[in-house]
Amino acid sequence: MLLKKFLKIFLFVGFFFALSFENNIAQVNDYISNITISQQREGLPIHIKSDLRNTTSISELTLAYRSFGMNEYIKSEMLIVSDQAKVTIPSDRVKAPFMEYYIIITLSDGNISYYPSEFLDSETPLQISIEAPSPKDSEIIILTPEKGEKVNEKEFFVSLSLIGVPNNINPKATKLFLNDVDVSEYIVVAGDLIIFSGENNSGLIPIGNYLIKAEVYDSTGLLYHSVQTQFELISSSVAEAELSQFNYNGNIKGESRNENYNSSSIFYNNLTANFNGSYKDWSANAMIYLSSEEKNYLQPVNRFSFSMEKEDRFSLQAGDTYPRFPSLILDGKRVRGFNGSLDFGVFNIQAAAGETLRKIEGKLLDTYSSKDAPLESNVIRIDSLRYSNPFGRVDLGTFKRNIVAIRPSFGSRENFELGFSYLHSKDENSSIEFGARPQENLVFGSDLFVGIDNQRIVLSGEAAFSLINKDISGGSLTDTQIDSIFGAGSFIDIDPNDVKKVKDYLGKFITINQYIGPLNPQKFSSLAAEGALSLNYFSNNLKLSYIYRGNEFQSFGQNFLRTDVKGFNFSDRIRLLENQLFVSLGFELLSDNLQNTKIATTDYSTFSSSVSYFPRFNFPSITVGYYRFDNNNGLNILDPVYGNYAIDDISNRFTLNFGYRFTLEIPHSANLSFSTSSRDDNGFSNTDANYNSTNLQVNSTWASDLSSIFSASYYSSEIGLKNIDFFSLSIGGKYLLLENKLQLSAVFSPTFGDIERQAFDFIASYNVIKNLDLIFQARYYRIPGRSNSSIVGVTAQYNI
Amino acid sequence: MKSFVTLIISFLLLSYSSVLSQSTTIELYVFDTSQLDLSAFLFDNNLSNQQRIMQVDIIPTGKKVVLEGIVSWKENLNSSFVEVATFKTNTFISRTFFNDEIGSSEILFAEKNSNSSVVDKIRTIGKPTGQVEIKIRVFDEKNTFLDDTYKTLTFENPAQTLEITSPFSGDELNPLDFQIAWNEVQGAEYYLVKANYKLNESQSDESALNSGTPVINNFNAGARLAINTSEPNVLQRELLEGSQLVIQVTAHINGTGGGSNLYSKIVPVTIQALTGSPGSGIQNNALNEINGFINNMVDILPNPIVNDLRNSIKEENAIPIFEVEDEDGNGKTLLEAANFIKQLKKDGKIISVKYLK
Amino acid sequence: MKKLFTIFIFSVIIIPLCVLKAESPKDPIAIAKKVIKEVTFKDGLEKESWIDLKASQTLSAESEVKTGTKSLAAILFTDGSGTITVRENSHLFIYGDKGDKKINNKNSFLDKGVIGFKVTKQKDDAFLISTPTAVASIRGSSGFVEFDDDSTFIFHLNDGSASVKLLIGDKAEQEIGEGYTIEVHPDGQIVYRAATSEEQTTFNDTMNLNNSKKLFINTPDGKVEIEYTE
Repeated sequence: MLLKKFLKIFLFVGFFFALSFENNIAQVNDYISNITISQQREGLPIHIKSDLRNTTSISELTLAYRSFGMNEYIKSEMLIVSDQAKVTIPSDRVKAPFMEYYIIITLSDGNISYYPSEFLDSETPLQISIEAPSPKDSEIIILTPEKGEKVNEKEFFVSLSLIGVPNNINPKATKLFLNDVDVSEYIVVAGDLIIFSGENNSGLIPIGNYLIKAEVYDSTGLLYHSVQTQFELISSSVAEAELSQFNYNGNIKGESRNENYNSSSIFYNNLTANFNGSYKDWSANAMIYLSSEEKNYLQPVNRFSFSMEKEDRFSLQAGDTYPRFPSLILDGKRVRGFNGSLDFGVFNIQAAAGETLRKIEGKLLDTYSSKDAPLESNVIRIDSLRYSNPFGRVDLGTFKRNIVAIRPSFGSRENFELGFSYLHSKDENSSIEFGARPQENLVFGSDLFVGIDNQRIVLSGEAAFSLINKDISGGSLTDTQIDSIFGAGSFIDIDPNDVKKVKDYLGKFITINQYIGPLNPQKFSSLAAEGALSLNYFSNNLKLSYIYRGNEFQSFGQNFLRTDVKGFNFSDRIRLLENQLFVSLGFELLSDNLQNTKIATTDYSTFSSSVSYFPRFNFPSITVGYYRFDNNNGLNILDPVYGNYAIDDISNRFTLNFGYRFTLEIPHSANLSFSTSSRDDNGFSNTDANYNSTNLQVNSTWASDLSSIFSASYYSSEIGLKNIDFFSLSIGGKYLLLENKLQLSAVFSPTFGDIERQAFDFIASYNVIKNLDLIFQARYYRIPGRSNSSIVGVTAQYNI
Repeated sequence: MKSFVTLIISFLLLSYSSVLSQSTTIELYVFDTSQLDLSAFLFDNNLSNQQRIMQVDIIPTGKKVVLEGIVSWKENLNSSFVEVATFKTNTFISRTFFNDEIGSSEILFAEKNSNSSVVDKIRTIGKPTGQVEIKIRVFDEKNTFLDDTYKTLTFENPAQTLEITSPFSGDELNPLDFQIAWNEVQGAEYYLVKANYKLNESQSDESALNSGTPVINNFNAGARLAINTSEPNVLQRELLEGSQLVIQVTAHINGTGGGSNLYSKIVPVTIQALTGSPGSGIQNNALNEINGFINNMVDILPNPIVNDLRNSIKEENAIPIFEVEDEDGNGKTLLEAANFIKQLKKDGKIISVKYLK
Repeated sequence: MKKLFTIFIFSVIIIPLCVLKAESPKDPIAIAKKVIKEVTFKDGLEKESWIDLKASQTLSAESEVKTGTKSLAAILFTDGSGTITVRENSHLFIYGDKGDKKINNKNSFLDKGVIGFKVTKQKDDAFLISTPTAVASIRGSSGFVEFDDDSTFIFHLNDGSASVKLLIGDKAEQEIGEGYTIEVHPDGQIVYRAATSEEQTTFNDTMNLNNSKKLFINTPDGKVEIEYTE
C-alpha cells in the first residue's frame, strides 16, 4: 500500500514540478514556444525551462540575466535536450525585488535571434519578480537538509523546527512538499520538531534535485507561513553506484618472436588473454597464457586460471594459483589446483590444494645385473621382470607433488590476528617409474599480528615447525620393525612403545620410517620463527626484527628459504623536509651453525644506508648510498687443519645518482650515476672483485613529436686477475607520426674495449584502431669474432 | 701308520683350509658422497628400502662365510674414532652384494650392537658429520678370520647454505657483462646457474625462474664459485636491456638416488638499459610502473576512469606526470598506493571516485 | 460480563492515558543529523539503557551520547543554534530548557573525548560547552573542545568569539581569540597560545562530517579524486 503510494509520488514528481508554483510565460517567438520558471524567492535558485520549436535550426541557446541594480547581464548556456532547453540561475544571484532576462538564440546558419523577439529592437528584457525574505522565515527552521546540501539517500531525512513560531500554530497541520509532492502524511511530530524520515521511505524518493517546501498552519487552519530550501539527493555516491555495476575489461595479446643467438634460432610464440569483470561487490578474473615453450619434459610454462571474489568475504581461485600463507610456509609457489578463503571477520579460513610439480617420467639408459651395478647416484633398482636386470642407469624423473594447506585465523587484521597453518605435501610415488626418493613434508605454524594506534605500532610474528621424510617409497614402518630397531640393545635406545605412540599419532599426517627427520627436534633444528616490531612515528619508519631458522627447516611451499641462520635486523626510514629528504639506515647481523653442524660459525653483517633528496623546485635530485657486507667465520687461513674452511670477506659498495630536468632551449632530462664495489676476500676461496660503473644519459625533447637519447657508460671489473674494461655509447631518437598513432624509435650503440659489440635497435608501434596496438621490434647485435645475434618480434594487443 | 695317515690328512685339510683362508679376500666399495642420512647406518633385518651405499665383494664366491661390520665415528678432525655400532651376519654363501641386501635377502643380521651414547650424540647433531669408518671382516662358518678391509667416509658441513654473493638483490647490472658469484658448499660436486626474465611485477620470483626458456639455463660452472655472463655458453639468449632478471645457483651434492641439491635464494636484479629506446631505462621503468598501477586499478576503479587513466599516459613523450598523493600533499609510491586503494576497496571504504579534468 | 467491563475500563481510561503520555513527551531539544558506526545514547526521559543512535533520532534534555572507535555523531539543536560533532570515543551530555521560542541554558557537557562545534550567532543566551574543569561560552563561532583521560581541557577557537571560565583553581575567565587555543591542566594551570597547525588539522577533521579523506592520482590530463572513509 505504502509502496503504491510512493510509486504514485514517484510518477507525479516530474509532472507536478512542471505545473505548480511556476510561471508560464508565452511570447510569440519562432523558436521558443513557452518558458517555465520555477518558484522565485530570494536565496532560492530559479530553474528556467523553454519549450522549443524548429529545434533543427537552433544550434545554441544562452540565457542572459541580471538582478536588480546590476548593469551587466550574466550569460549562461542552456542545455538543450530534445525539444527543451534548461538552465538554472544559482541561488546567490537571485535577489529581490526582480530579475531581468532574455535568451539569445544562435541558429544553425550562424544568425542570432532573441527571446523575446523584440529584444533586438527595444533591448527590453523580461522580468521575474522575486519575493523578499519574510521575518517569519527565521521562526521556521529547516534543520536538515541544509541548503544546497548533497544528501546521501541512506542518510536522508527532513527535520523542521517550529521552536520560534507563536503558540497558535498547530504543528500537526504542517504540510511538507518534496518537489511539490505532498508527503505530509508521512511526517512525525516530536514536540517542536517535524520529521520526515528517509529511512522508512528509502529508495522511493528518487535521486535528484529537490525543493523542500514546508507550510505551517495556525490552529484555525490558516496558512501562517511557508519556507523552502533546496538540496540534492544523491545515491550512496554517484561513482559508487557506477562501481557497483557490472564492469569488465580484458585484453588479448599475441607475440611471435625469433631469437637468433650463437647461431641457434628459436621461435617464441605466445598468446595471453585476460578478462576481468565485476558486479557490485563480486569480481571475476580469467587468464590464459599459452606458449610455444611448453614442453612435456619440463614443468608447465602455460598458465590458466579463473578466480572469483566477493569483496572481503569470499575468494576462490582455480587453475594456476599463487596462494599466500605466512611466508615461512607457503608464499609465491605455483599451485595448480584451488585456493580460496572465507572471511567472517572474527573467524576466517584459507585453504589451498593442488599440484606444485607435475610428473615428468625419467628415462632408462642402461641396465645392470646385481654384480655389475655401479654405486652411482643415478643407478637405481628397476623392475627386473620387465627390464631383465635389477638395476638401471636412468635420467631421473620428477614425481608429481601435491600440496594441501589450511589456515584458520581469528581477528580481522585491523588490530589483531592470530592464525594457525597446516601444510602437507607429498610426492606421488606411483606417478613415475624412473624416479628416486619420493618425499613428504609436514609443516605446522602459527602467526600473530597486533596493530596498535592505527597500526603505527605493529608487532608481528610467525613460527613454523617442519617434518620431512626423504624417502617414502617403502611406506611406514610396521610395529615389528619398530620393535626390532628401537629399544635397549638395538641401534636406537628409545622405548619402542613410545615410537609406536608417535607413529600412531603422527602417522596419520606423514609417513613414518627411517627417513623421517629431524632427528633432533629438541635442538630446534626444524623450527623457523621470526618476529618484528615496527614503529611509525615522527616521520620515522622503524623496524626491528629477529629471525631464527633451524638447519633442517623445510617447507615444500617455500623451497628457497635460507636456513641455518639467526639474527637481528634493524632498519629505519626517515622522511624529512616535507618528504623531500629520505634517509634510510639498516643494519643486519646474522650467524649460522645453529645446530653446531659446522666447523665454525660464520657471522654475516650488513650495513646499508642511503640518502635521497627530491626537491620540489628545479634542482637535481640526488641519491647517495653506501653498503657494507662483512662475512667472517673466525678461522685462520693459515690453520693447518681448518685453514681451507676460512671465510673472511668484506664488500663495500658506493652509489651516487643525480637526476636533473632542465630546459636549455628545449626540455632535457639528464641522469648521471656512479657505482663502485669492491670485495676483499681473505678467506680460502679468495675471490676478490672490483667493479666500477659510470653512466650518463640525456633525453631531449626537440618537438612534441621528436625526442632523442644520448648515453655514455664506462664499466670496469677486476675479478681475480682478470680485468674487463669497456665503454658504450648510445645515440637514438623517437619520432611520432600519423597523429601520434605511429611511433618509431631507433638506437645505435657501439661498445669498445675488452668487449666489442655494435647493437642496433628498431621499434615501431602502431595504434591501428582505438583498442588495437601493433608493435614491431628488431634488435641486431654484431659481435666481432662471434656469430651475430638478432631478436625480431611482432606483438599485437587488443583491449576489450 | 693310521696315526700318520690321520696326520697327513689333517695336515692336508689344514693346509687346504689355510690355502682357502689365504685366498678368500674381501673388497669394499663405498658410495662417494659427502652427505648421508643417519638411517644408512641402521642395521636391521626388518628394514626395507635402505640406501645403497656399500658394495661388498667376497672372492671366491660360493663359500660359506660370516660377515662382521664395525662402524666408527670421528666427530671432527681433532678427535679420534669411537665405535658406534657392530653387526654380524648369519652364515651365507659368499657373493657380491650391496648393503641394502643385508637383512632383506638370504644374508641376515645375526647380531647387532650399538654404543647408544654415541648414537644419541650423533642424533642430537641430526646428521652424520665428521668421518665415519666402515670396517668389514669376513670369517668362515667356523668363525675363522679370513680377511678384512675398511673405508672412510668424510661428511663435511652437512647443514650448508648457499648464498649468491654477487649480484645483490635489486642491483642494476650491465647487460654486456656481470659476475654471478656464490659461497662455497663443502662436498658440492658442481654448481648450476639459472637465470630467467621476470615478465611483470606480480610474478613471484620463483614462478619467474621456472617459466619458459631461461636466459642462463642451468649453466654448469663445475667447482668454480663465480662466472661472468660474458663467458661463452653462459647465456642462452641475448640479455634484454631494461629487463628484470631472477638468478639462482644450485649446488649439487652427490648421493644416493640422484643425490641432493642445495638451492640459493633467488636474487632479483635489473639489467641496465644502455641501448634501449630513448629514455627506456628510466622511462620504461616509470611507464611499466604506471601501467602496473593502472592494471591494478582495473577491478577497483570504474571502467571509464581506468580508460581515462590509460589514455592520460598514452600521448606523452617524456615521463608522464603520474603521482599519488593525499590531501596534505604527501606522496605515495605507486605500489604503496595500489595496495592502499585495493585495501580501501576491499574494506568498502571508497565513497566516491571522480576524474577532475 | 466482568471481563467485558474490565476491557471497557482499560480501553476508556488506560489507553487514553498512555496516548496522552505518548503524545506529550518532553520536547526534544536536539536531533541527530548524522551517525557513523558505533554511537549509542540514553534518552533524557528514560535513562535505563544505551540504545543505538540513528540519524533523525530526537534527543531530550539530559540525554547522553557515547561514541565508539572511528565513530561519529552530528547533533543539531532544535533552535538552529548550532551543530555539535561528537568524535570517536567521546561521552557527551546535552542540557537545555525548552522556553518560549528558544532553548535556554543550552549546555553540552563533555565528559570525555573531542567535540567540534559550529554555532550560529547567539542573541542573548550563550551556547555553553562544559567539562569537569572548565566551561566555554560560545557566541557564534566554530572550534573544538577536547577533554583527555588525564583531565586536560583543550579549547580551540577557529573563528568567532568565545570565553573560557575555569571551574578549578582561581576560577579565572579567559577571552579566546580567533585562531587561539587554551589548555587547562588538571592542576589549574592555564596555557593560552596561538593554535598549532596540528590543532588546525584536528579542527578540520572534527568538522568533516563524512569522516572522509581524499587521495589524488595526478595524471597529465587532470586528477582522479578518491574519497574514502578511514
